[in-house]
This record gives sequence, C-alpha cells and structure tokens, in this order.
Amino acid sequence: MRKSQYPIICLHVIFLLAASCFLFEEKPQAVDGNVSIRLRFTVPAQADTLEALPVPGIPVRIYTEDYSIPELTEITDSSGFVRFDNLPYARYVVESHALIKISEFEEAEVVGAKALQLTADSLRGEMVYTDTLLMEQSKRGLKINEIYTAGPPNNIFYFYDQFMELYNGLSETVYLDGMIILRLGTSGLFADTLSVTYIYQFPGTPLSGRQYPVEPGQFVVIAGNAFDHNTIGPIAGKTVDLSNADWEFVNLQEANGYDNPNVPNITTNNGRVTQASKVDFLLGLTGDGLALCDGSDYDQTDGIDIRTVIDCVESSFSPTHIKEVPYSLDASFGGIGMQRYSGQSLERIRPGFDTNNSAVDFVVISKPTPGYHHE
Amino acid sequence: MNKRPLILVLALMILVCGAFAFEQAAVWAADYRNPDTELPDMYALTGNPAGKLYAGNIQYYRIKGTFSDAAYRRIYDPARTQLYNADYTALMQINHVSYFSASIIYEDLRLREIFGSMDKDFYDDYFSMVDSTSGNVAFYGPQLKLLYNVKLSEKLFFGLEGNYGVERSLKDTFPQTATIMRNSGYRAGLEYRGKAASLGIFGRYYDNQVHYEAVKQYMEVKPRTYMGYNIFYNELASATANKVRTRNGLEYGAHFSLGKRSRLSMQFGISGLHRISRADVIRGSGTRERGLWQREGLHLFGILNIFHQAEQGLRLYADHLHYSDWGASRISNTLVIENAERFSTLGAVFYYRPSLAQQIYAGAEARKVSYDYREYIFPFHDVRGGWEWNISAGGRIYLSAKTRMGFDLKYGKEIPRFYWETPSFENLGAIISLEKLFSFGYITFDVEYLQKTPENKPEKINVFLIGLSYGRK
Repeated sequence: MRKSQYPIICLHVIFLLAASCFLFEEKPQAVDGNVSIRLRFTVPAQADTLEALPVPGIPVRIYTEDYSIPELTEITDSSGFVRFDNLPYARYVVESHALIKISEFEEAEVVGAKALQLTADSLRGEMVYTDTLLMEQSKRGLKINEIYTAGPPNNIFYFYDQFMELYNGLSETVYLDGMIILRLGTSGLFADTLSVTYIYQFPGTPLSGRQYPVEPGQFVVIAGNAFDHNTIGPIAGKTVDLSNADWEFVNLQEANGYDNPNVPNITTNNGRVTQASKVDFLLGLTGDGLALCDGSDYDQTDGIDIRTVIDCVESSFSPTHIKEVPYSLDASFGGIGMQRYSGQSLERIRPGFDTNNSAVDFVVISKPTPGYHHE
Repeated sequence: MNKRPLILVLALMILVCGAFAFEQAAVWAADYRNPDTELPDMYALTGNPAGKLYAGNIQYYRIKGTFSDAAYRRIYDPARTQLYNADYTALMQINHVSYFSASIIYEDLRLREIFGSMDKDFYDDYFSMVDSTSGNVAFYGPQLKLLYNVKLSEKLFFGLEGNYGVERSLKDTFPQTATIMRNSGYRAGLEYRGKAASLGIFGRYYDNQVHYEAVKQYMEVKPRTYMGYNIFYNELASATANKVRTRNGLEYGAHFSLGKRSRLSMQFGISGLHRISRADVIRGSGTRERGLWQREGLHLFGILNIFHQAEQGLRLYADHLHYSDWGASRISNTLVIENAERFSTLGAVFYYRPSLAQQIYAGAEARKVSYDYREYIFPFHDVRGGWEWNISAGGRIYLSAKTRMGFDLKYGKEIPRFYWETPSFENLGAIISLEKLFSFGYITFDVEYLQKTPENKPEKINVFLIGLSYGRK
C-alpha cells in the first residue's frame, strides 16, 4: 500500500468515530409505570384541634389528563390508607368526598383532594409517593358554579356564547344587590387587593339591598349575550340557548351592543363602576381569573380588597399556566386539558362544592349546563 | 446479442427500487435471490460504494406507479396509497481509474383516508404524533444521489456516496398538516480486490430531519403524542401542533469474499448499526422533548455460490439480523419502551440456464423471526415469533432476438411486526417484465402484483405496481 493512501484510510476511520459521537445516549435506569401513591385520609378529631382520625372505607379516585389511562378507584382501609400501584409519572388529581357520621344525628360532607405532579426528579428516585390528606368540609355559600368560555365546536372562531353560573349553597336566601363580578388581571400571589380588567355590578345597594334574591339551591345564569346562540347557522345545535338567562352583562358604553330587553342587566360604565374597555364582557378563551365580590369596595383604581371577595376562581387550559390570583382565594387553577372550541365547560364537582382549590373543586364537562348541574 | 447492458439495467432497477426509499433504512437490504449470472457485487450486498463494479457507461430513465388498497389495515395506516416515482440515473467513467454515478429521483406519494397520524408512517416511530381528523395527504419531493469510485492502486478501491432529498407534504383536511423532511446520507468504503479474494470495510452516516406542523383550524382536533403504540400523551391544545423528528444513524461493517472466479465462491459480511431518533414538540417558541429511542443492531450474512456460471447453479445463503431498541420518555426521563427483533434466514436458489436465451430459477427461504415488544407506562407486552417461509420461481426468456420476458412468482407466509390483530399474512406475488431492444436503447415494461391476506380476516391488502424504463449504453 502506498503511503499516499494512508490519509484516505485515516479519514475513513475518523469519519466513523466522529459520526458515532452523535449516536449514543445513556439508557435510563428508572422504568416508567412503577410509581405508587400511598395516601392516608384523615379528618380533624375535633374543631380547632390538630389531632386527626383516619377515615376508613371511603372511595378514593385518581385520574390523570396526561395519558389515556383509565380512572382508578380504591377504598381506604381501616387505618385510612389507600394505595395505587403501577402508575406512570404524570400529573394526577386524587380526590375523595364522603359523608361521615359525626354523631347519631349528624353527618358532614368532607372532601380530601390534592393535585400531584410526579416526575422522576420530584420523587428523587423513590418509587412511592406518600402523603396524608386532611379532609375538609366543603365551604357552603354563594359560589361561582360554572364557567363556560371555550366556545362550541366551530371553525368560525365563535366564542361569544360565554356564560357563568352562580349557585347558592347556603340554607338561606342571599341577595345579589350591588355585588360585583370581576375579570381579573395579574395580582400578586400574596396580595391583599385584586387587579381588575373588567368590573360589572348588579343593580341595588351592596350588603343591605334585598331586591334580587337567590334562594337556597338556586342557580343563576349570567350570560355574555342573552340569546339563543343556536340561531347562528354554523353552530346550530352545538351551543346553548341563553335567551332565558337570569342576567346579561352589558357595557353601557358599547356602541350597538346586544341587549336582550327581557333579561335584566349587570352593567359597567354605569356611573358607579367604570372600566377602560368599551366592549362587552368576555372571558379569556383559554382561562382567566373571575371573582364575585360583595360590592362594598367597587373602586378598582387601587384594586379590589380581597376581604370583599365572596368567591374566586382561576382557570387555565394550560398545565404550565403561571398563577395570577392570590393563593388565599384559590390555591390552584382548574380547567387543565380543556380544548378551545370544544364545547367543554368547567363546573364544580358538586353544586357549590368549594375548598378554594379549583384544580380539585372543578371538573371539565363535555357540554355546558346553564341553570342545572351535570350528572 | 450482448446481454450485459440488459442485465445491468435489471440490476439497476432492483437497486433503485430498494435503495431509494426516501427515509433511510436501518440496514442495507440485499436481494440474495438476484438471478443474474454474475455474482452480486459487494455494493449490492452491503452498500459499500467501493465494492461497486463498473460495467460500462449507462443512462437510464424510469417511471413507476405503485398502488395499494388496504382493506385490512391498522388504525393509523392509510386505506389506499399511490406512489409515483420518476428517476434518472447516469453512470460514467471519468478516467481509467475512476467513475461517477448520479441519480435524480422525484417521488409523489399519496396516502388516502389516513386517520389521525401526522407522521408519514405512524408505525415507524415509537413517538408518533396524531390528531383527531382523517383525510388525504401527499408527500412529494426530489432526491439526489451521487457515487464516486476510484482505484487507489492496482487492488485497492475507494468509494464515496452521498444522497440528499427534500420532501414536503400537505394534508388536505383540518388541521392542514404540513411536513418538511430533509434526508441526507453518506457512505464511504474501501475494498481490496485480490485475484481470488476481496476484503472491504465501509461506514455510513445518515441524518433525517422531519418537521410536522399542523395548523389547527378545526376545533375538534386534539393532538396527542403516542408513547409506543398503545398509550398516548395529551398535548396541550394550541393554534399549531408542531413535531420535530430527528433521526441519525450509523452503520459500519466489513465484508469478505473468496473464489470469485472459481466454481465455488463465498461472500460474507458483518455490520453493526446504531440509530437514535428524537421526537420533540414545539409549543410557541419553546421546544419540549417528548421521546428518544435508540436502536442497535447486528447484521451478518454469508453466501455460498456453487457453479454459478455453469448451466446449473446453486446459491445458498444465510442472514441474521438482530435489533435491540429502547425508548425513553423525555417527560419523565424514564424507560418506557423496549423492543427486540431477530431475523435468522436460510435460503437456497437453484438456477438452470439451458442456453444464453433461457434461464429459470426456483428458490425457497425460511426465516425464524421473533419480536419482543414491551411498553411500560401502561403495561403492554407482545411476544410473537415463528417461522416465515416463502418459495419463489421465475425465469428470463428471450421471446425473440430483441425481446426478453421475465417473470417471477412468490408465495409465502409472513409474521408481521406491530400488527396486533393477526398472527400472520399469506403473501402471493407475481412480476412480469418485458424488455425490448431498439436502436436507441432498451425499453422495459414491468407489472407487479402482491396480495397479502391476514390470517382469520376476510379483508386483504392488494399492491399493484406498473413501471416503464428506458436505458441506453
């Protein structure tokens, strides 16, 4: 072999070695699908005590929106423990609600729920996630029960059939007089005031007014535009009839805005509450912050005092959404996995069910249910 | 009549059909039953460009249409496919020690009624992305292939080959999935050719990049990334769903042959291969890794030719191919898929050439296959294996001084990979080709039909191919 051929052979070898550098990755040692979740469900032994008692025999369900795997249900054992095995790393919602007997003549509805994000890193090599959930009683009251923003299935970008629904979970009548509904901006997560984008107010006098009652167990539908949206050709049969809504959002400065004369209005730019926007009330298609306040603080220029908040919900379709609402009002956000223009809606698990944790209080339902609760 | 150009045209046709699939195969696929009187060169067996034998200048044009109708199919297979292919190949001697070959190919592939899959071939990737619509999609684009072979010394040859292709596609439904694929591959090799023996080494590197973009206009679309074939990860709904697949591979090996001109000759080859395939999703300006899978493999073959230039000849061959794959989720950084495949083949072809104008062959092949596929996220384990076999027969007969007819018949059993609902296919195939010599060159017309019948299913898969080529020396 001639010496002049050596470079060619060397190049050949170098080519192979260089190419091989791109082609190797370490095979992971950890195998997915082997994670276990072990939870203990407890309730406070007495009010104002740290002592906790196990809750045996209650069904606990766990599900994930990440993968196409079925929902699992297990029953807690005599020590209140429940265990789910052979799970993949994913985001889960674990929840249980049950009626427990407090005394011979008393029962209480309690809930224990938690959103988990399990990754190989978060578990630090462990294959079992262990935690204790202190079950709480659902807070009863006037609640934002359903938020529908996603729009019906359509390809004309129609999402003007939005509505929100209130539910009175109290055992007595409440009055909407002077209450305000806020579409929120980004507030500090530990702030004591809320940043506001839209502000709408019910007629009447806050706190003392008695003109607009909501009876116990009653739903109140507040429509963006109170008409039958099925009359629009491309979405006929796919959306909601809001012509019989209880209230309709109206911006009094909107030129030629729709206003159903048969539906009372909750208004803005009405001489009392003002906002810069001159268009009608619209929530973000893929999530937003929404608050119902008693109306005692309606000057939004310095923010709305969170002590006046009756209920607050944050939602986002995105799991990577960065929270915008203070933790004290909503510990998380609901609606993860919802799709735009899908007809999906976000509703509480049960009417008025509230633990101030929207990730577990709300479920995604396949179609909106204005004025009633999903089955 | 000099039949050497005719044989060369046929050999080129086989090579072009096999080697020019747009995406790079993990391992070179050789046709051991090639019924030519000449021994297949090492380029045909291993892809080593140094092993390609120069057999005269030639220019060659071909158009081809392949049509398949899959009454039986998996969920993400198209119901029908149409592949139109046009290519031009020229091989020219530069000087007395080197020659050059160039091919330009244009392909137009149409997949009809494909449900959901954004990928060209859902079952070719462990991390395929799907949406929830069905429609038609067309892939089209040119490819270029160049080969240079030089004689470094009396017995040492060096070869270099490069190919590059760009392919685009558009799905005619919502979302309008657009795809851009860039594919490049490089081979280099050395061969030492002695009088009675030859020895070669070769290497190959390829890079395949695919960018899928689904512009979401219809609102019921729900993009998902499969982690294997049975479980999917729900992607976040967004205006566009983008997936980037990057695939790099390396193959290296050596081959050896003995007794090229004797009545008994042998050819052996060994190669190792590595492939890494990455699937990422692009959301907004950020890239999110979804999966990575790696393939390693070993390929061995040996051929024994007995009296290959005599009136009667026999070729015995053995081939072993072993793949080992693992796939990792880049969401959890854990192992989610393992797969092992083994193919061990034994075959024999008997040739009978009563005259220069007549030649027939009969062959039989048995292959032991085993598949062991496992998904971990939600446990799924599929182990299957058994014997595949096929028998074939054919011939090349001159109907007149300037017209030759070729025919091939094949029948066999196949154990398909990643078909969960049927254990085997029964395959029946027939090829007829007619070649006519004119003063300006050769024209070849060929027709191929293949029928695949799944076991215990009434539906069938039918493939029909029609081709026309023109070659001149």
